[in-house]
Amino acid sequence: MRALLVEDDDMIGRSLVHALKGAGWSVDWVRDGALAHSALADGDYRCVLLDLGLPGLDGTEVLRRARARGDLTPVLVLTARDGLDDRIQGLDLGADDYLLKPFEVGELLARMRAVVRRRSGVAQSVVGNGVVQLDLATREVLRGGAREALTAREFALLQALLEQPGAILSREQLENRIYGWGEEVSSNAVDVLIHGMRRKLGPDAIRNVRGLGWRVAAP
Amino acid sequence: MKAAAESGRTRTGAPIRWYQPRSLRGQLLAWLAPWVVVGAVVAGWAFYASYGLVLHTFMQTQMEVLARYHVPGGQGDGPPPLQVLSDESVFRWGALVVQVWSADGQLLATSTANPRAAVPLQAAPGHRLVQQGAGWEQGWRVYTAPPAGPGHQRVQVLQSEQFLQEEVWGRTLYVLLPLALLVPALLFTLWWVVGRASRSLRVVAQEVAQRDDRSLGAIPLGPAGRVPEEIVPLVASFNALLARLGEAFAAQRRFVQDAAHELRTPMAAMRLQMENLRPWVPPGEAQQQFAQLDAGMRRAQHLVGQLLRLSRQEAPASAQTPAPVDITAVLRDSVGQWMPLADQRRIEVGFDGTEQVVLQASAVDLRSVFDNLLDNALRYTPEGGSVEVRLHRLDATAGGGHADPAGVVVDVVDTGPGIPPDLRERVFDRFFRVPGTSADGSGLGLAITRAAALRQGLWVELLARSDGASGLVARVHLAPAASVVAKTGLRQG
Repeated sequence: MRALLVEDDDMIGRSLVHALKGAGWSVDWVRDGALAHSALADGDYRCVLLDLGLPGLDGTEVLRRARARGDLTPVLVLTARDGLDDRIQGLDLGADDYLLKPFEVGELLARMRAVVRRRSGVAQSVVGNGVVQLDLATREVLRGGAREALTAREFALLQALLEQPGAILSREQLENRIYGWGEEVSSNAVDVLIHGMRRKLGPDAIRNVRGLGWRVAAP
Repeated sequence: MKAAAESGRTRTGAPIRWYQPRSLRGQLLAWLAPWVVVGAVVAGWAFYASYGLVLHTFMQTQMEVLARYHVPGGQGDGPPPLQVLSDESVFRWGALVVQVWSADGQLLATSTANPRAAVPLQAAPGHRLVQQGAGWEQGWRVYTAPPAGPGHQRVQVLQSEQFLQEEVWGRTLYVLLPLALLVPALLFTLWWVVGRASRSLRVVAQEVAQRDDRSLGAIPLGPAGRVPEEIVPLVASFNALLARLGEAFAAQRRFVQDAAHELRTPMAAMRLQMENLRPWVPPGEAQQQFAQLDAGMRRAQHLVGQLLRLSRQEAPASAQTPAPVDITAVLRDSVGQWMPLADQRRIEVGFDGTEQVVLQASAVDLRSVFDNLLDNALRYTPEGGSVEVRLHRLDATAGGGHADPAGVVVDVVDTGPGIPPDLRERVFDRFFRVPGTSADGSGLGLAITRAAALRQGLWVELLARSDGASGLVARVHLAPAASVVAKTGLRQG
């Protein structure tokens, strides 16, 4: 897979090229906006890593021109600017994601995979957090290579949790996801469901935060 | 000794003043009111004197004319008939009394029989004032006509001094009446005008009070006449000062942001190089050293992040519009964010609270407050400890109905070492750390918390645990900061 890296800082550029090659990407590295512009025009990249503060042509301008040309290559913005306005501007111009320096290589690679997958148009069929995966097509849960079938309510509950891994969902939020309008909700329905799922998935898969609700670990 | 002497000198040395108004209005009234009264008195006196003179001169002429009319033509003529005057016309209306005397001093006829008017014949002709008893009302203005010849009858004309005095006084009072009405009207106008001017000053003062480091807009002069012309230069120079201050603040923020931005790039590079290095680090001593380097890196990264957040938070928050925020939802999000750290440090986190509180505030600032308090609690609580978040009402009887934030607090209770009472305000200062603590905080978290809380009108304080156990309670009052400060007597900043 080919990626274009637009980064004017030597040290970051060299280190990133090294790290990305280690992860199986082939990387073209350009150091200013004008070169990035022409590289994007001829090359066929699966993903672009774009620094915003560039000499000559600014990163936002490179992005704006690429999108104006109809170029839909996924763009991941890497920047040290993290003001809300900067972020909104970047995303408005058509960036697919935004990563604040300094970042972990693991997170960068995960985000690159995500934007590529999103852009390739393949509907995401599996959601997961690295501990448990949920197959949306078969409604099965995968844990450590083993597959387990889930009831409709168990599936709905786990899907709600895995959509925002790390976030705490309250009892009310979970009940809204597993019960339809006007359905009678028993007071301990969520507890019963989670108790059953812990038996299938292991005691740590769904964690309770006392007084607030339940969460699954973030990836 | 010295102090006593000084105070004594001050006490005796200061000139004694019966009234020392502190307000402009009081001073103006105190200085102008006596002048207005003196003016009225002088005007009254001048009128009294001049009108008295005019009246006397006129009356003297009248008396002479009347006397001449009654002087008989020749010797031995009978007394001419005299119209009898009532007492009322003599004393009240000032009718002239005519007396006719024989040459040998016998009263032949008089226009009144009233004994008060029994003025004897004056020897020498001319005008004079004759007292018939004590008091001004017993006086008479007398004109004695010169005899027409030897042996002729004498004529004397009298006018009651009572009438004259009453006339002059009455007229003077008439003149003084409008003046007397003018004095209070004048003083009231003065009072009102000064009040109006000082009200516009108060408006300006309120405008100034609303300025802080986040809103340094110029003070509006408003429609013409709202700010008095005399105050306009003051407001103008104040606006110039505000503008310079705003520039200074902006420059400072730019510097901090640029600095943090410039720091992040080399740190990102180092981070990446360390990641690349990691697989090549041989096991054993080298890996321990590498882990320490990694921890140091993360600490520097955290500090730069906090610094940038602080400087950004202090910038005018145009994007942060207040909206109804459910406190429990914010706490749920915030706790969720910190659960990985809690899990890593094996700290039990729990929430307790049934109050439903909705606050009109910026969700970004509220998150910042709770994030930093939780970060702090998790950082300083030893492994295996617990952090409790409580949303509760301080006084069950206080406050209004459902969702009323008055009296409701959020407590973040930890099982850390706590903070000595005398340092609980100081830890809100930037870069201040409690001496002897080992955790690798940036020293900015609580400063960020307080800044964000104050911006939303909330007050944050640190307390000891009420159950006597080791630990700290970070309390966020979900009511306007000012009222809470007043209630607990805490100083701000």
